[in-house]
Amino acid sequence: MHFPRLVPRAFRAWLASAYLRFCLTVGLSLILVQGATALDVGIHAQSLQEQEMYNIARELWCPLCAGIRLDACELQACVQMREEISLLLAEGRDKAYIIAYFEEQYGTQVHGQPPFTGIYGWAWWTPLLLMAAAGITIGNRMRRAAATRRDSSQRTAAP
Amino acid sequence: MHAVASGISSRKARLRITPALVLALAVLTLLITLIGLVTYRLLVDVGPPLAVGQPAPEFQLETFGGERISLSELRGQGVVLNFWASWCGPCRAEAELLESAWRREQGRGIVFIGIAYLDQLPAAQRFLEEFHVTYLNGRDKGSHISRQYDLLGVPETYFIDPNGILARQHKGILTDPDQFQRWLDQIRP
Amino acid sequence: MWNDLAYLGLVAGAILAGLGILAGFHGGHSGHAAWTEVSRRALIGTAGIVILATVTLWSALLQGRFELRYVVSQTELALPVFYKFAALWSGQAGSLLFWAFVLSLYALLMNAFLGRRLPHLMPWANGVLCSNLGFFLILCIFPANPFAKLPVAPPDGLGLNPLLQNYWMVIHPVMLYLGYVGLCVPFALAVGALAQRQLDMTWIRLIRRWTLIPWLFLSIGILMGSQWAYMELGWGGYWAWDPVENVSLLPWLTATAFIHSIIVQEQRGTMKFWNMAMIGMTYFLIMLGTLTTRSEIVVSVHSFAQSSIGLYFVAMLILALSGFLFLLWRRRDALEERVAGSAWISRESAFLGNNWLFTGVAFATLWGTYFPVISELFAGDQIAVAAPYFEKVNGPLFLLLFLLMGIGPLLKWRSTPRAELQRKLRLPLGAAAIAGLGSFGLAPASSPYALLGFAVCALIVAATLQEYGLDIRTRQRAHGEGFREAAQRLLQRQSHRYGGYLVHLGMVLMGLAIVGNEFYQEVQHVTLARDESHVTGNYTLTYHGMIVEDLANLTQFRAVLGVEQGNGRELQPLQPRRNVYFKNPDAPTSEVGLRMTWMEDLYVVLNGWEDEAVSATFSIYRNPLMIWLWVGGLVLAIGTLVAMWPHPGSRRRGPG
Repeated sequence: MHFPRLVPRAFRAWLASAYLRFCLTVGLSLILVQGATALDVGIHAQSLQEQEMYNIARELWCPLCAGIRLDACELQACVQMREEISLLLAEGRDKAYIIAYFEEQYGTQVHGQPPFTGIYGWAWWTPLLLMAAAGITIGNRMRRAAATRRDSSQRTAAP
Repeated sequence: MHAVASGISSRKARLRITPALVLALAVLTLLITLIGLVTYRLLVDVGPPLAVGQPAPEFQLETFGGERISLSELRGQGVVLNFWASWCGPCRAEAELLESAWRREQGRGIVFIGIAYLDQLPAAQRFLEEFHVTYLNGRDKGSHISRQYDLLGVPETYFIDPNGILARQHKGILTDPDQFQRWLDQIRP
Repeated sequence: MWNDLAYLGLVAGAILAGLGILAGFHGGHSGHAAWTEVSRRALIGTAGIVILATVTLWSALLQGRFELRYVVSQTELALPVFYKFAALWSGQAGSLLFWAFVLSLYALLMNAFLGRRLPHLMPWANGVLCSNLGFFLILCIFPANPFAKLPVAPPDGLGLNPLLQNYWMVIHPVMLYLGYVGLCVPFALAVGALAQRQLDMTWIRLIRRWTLIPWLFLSIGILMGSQWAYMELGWGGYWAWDPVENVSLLPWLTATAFIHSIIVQEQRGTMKFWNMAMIGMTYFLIMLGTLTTRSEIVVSVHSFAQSSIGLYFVAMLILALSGFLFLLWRRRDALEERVAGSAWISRESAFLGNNWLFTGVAFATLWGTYFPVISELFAGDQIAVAAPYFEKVNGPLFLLLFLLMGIGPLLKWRSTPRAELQRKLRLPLGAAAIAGLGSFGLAPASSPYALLGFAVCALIVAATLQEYGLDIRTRQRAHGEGFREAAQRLLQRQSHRYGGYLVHLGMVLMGLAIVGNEFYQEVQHVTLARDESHVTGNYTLTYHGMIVEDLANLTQFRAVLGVEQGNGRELQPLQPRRNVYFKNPDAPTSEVGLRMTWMEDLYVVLNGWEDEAVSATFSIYRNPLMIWLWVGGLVLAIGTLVAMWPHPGSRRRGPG
């Protein structure tokens, strides 16, 4: 077991053995600190239902704009869409239902990302496939290069 | 004089088909496709064929009342197709004109249909109540109809003759009652 | 009259540029020094004309010459001088002229600094720059003439786009252009090197520096753009993965890949073909990006211009791409990879991984940006590809890049024994464990990415400092120097390397801010009556009322929000604003009220108010660690300057 030479010799052995335990202890004690502070919750003027509405709006995208989230969009249409979410919540609908409802009403645009299936799926697969192909190619080249290197080192090593 | 610098061999490389070459060609093809796409996008107005004098695209609409109608059912009558939204300011300006024309034309061979574009249920209903709209209205689910009609924004109004042929498309507000009347006369059976 | 003269000048400039292209390429091909001189003079002449024409347009904007269409469309009498100055690059025609202007400056600099050091490359490089200048001049002469006149001069202009009336929007495009346009210079040098088969150390060193300069500007430009989006668009974020933002990032990604992979060519003599391909790609992406920004191929909130210039760009792209590919093909012998064996665990493989990831991110970003066009063609509608897509695809890739940023510096060229890597990784991994678990403990996030993000950042810092420490130690031993002396000497001697590490640390700081904003942002939307309070985190916000003030060309509505800290201390009140411009009353802009601290930003957007401002609606964000995004940018800039600084001995070693 070696430790960076930076650390004074006397501490090196102790550190090497106790090091990871120490790190874990520090990490875990920080978790305990969190437990103690978790009670500190502010009083929000915002109603819970409104917060819930904004949480859902945060996952939706304004179908009329390019790349603006529904919770931050200021168009009248978006204000009304947020109102629609509130109404659906008041009807007792859950998040999944509301998101599905929005997709049905306003199209897949509301997700801000293409679906994984069908022709839209190529948005996802193409970069993945290309990166995989490139990775394999690079790997192969490196293996070949490493092989030649071994060969040449063996040749030089031989008398 | 060519300056041949160090570290460069001048022997000719043979062309071998390696995975790297295939990959390079694939990337190149993609880039060229991209240029092609961009060119295409610049040259051609992509979108469904929609032209005055051609059949208007068929659609089905579920009205706010829950009734289902389709364009083909309305053959034999002139159709005024008005795209609107409750969040659209200019739409308010033409709402009264449309409703009064409808009340006049009702039973004289022309049907009015309102299609709410990206609209919200409560707000759309408030809008219809506010302007006492009585002609058929429905929401364009998933914006399918709007896409077929190449909608740029709201309001837009389409005039379809009794044979289902698109007679006129008007982008923007209907302001002039006389002009509107003339356009209605064009599609009267 | 001056404006007509300037237009004629543009025509003359285009002809001169054409001459420069012919002279440059012919001179390069034949080797006649006289033609090289002709190309140099043609380039300098064209550059001079462009600069004069730009100055003319500037003075027309400042003087409010409303006989010019461009001046009418971009300014108004009441516009502050500051923004009149910036109107040069806010519209289509002006921004194209500005492109040529910046390229002219670079052309002059290139000739001044490299004319004697890379004499054989110059005719080719001059030819390439002349063709770019000529291209933008043709755009300014035909489809986008900035000096076009109106039949009757109106008494006042239409005013500048309100979104652009922000001081960040004045400086940000300048930086972006300095970066974007400047990356044409390494392309020109690459063409020259290819044509002359001159890929020696001098060339590597110079192209590295001439890539780093525009790269630095581009980095700063991108960051300033984020700052603008953060302050002006008011959605609590700084990067929306919007098409216009994406195309500014694309050449940055490939240029960053190049900056890394050229090190491999410098040290090991491999990756020659790849490096050339990366430079060509960067240039391609610059042109594609300019095309995308200037014609509305992909709809974007940032697209401020639209016109028919797209096809000109396509022609230029095809010409440049086919020319460069032809040159690559003809010089394939000079670029043939000498197989230099390296082990799996080696510095080379880390650089390969780096390039694999950078080009991967670049490809995914390119693909996502243009996918709406593809889907429109095949599926009939432009599907939305927004932030969720880019975050899902690029997020993991960036995380891997950061991981590599931590491990890479620990690796040696050719081969690193596994045991050595394990030993060197111990301290960084420990730091990562503390940071990861600690962040989870202190502030649990909903995503494991947050934990991983903090862990990887800690890993990089620990690994880099450890590496520096070990190097100091070695130097102390070898030269018998004290700690401080060794530390300083090392920085001086290996400024390239340590500059790079400093840039890495800047990236780490930005990474912290991104993780903080992405996973720990808190937002509340509240309506407050006058003197009503709202508690968020450690702050109590009280709405005191609205101040309405008429400025030169706008009315400003400022809500006054008292801020009280948890301990009862009263802070400077926040004043989130709305600006309603007289010329564009329908497009009010927002300016956030901001309190920056080292830990978090308190960021308030004024959404609206009831009559007489008896109550107002706010979005209140708390964005943890945001300040480190900007601090990180500063560190990155300093690091790049350090890395760029000429070695004390390099001038002597280089030939000529």
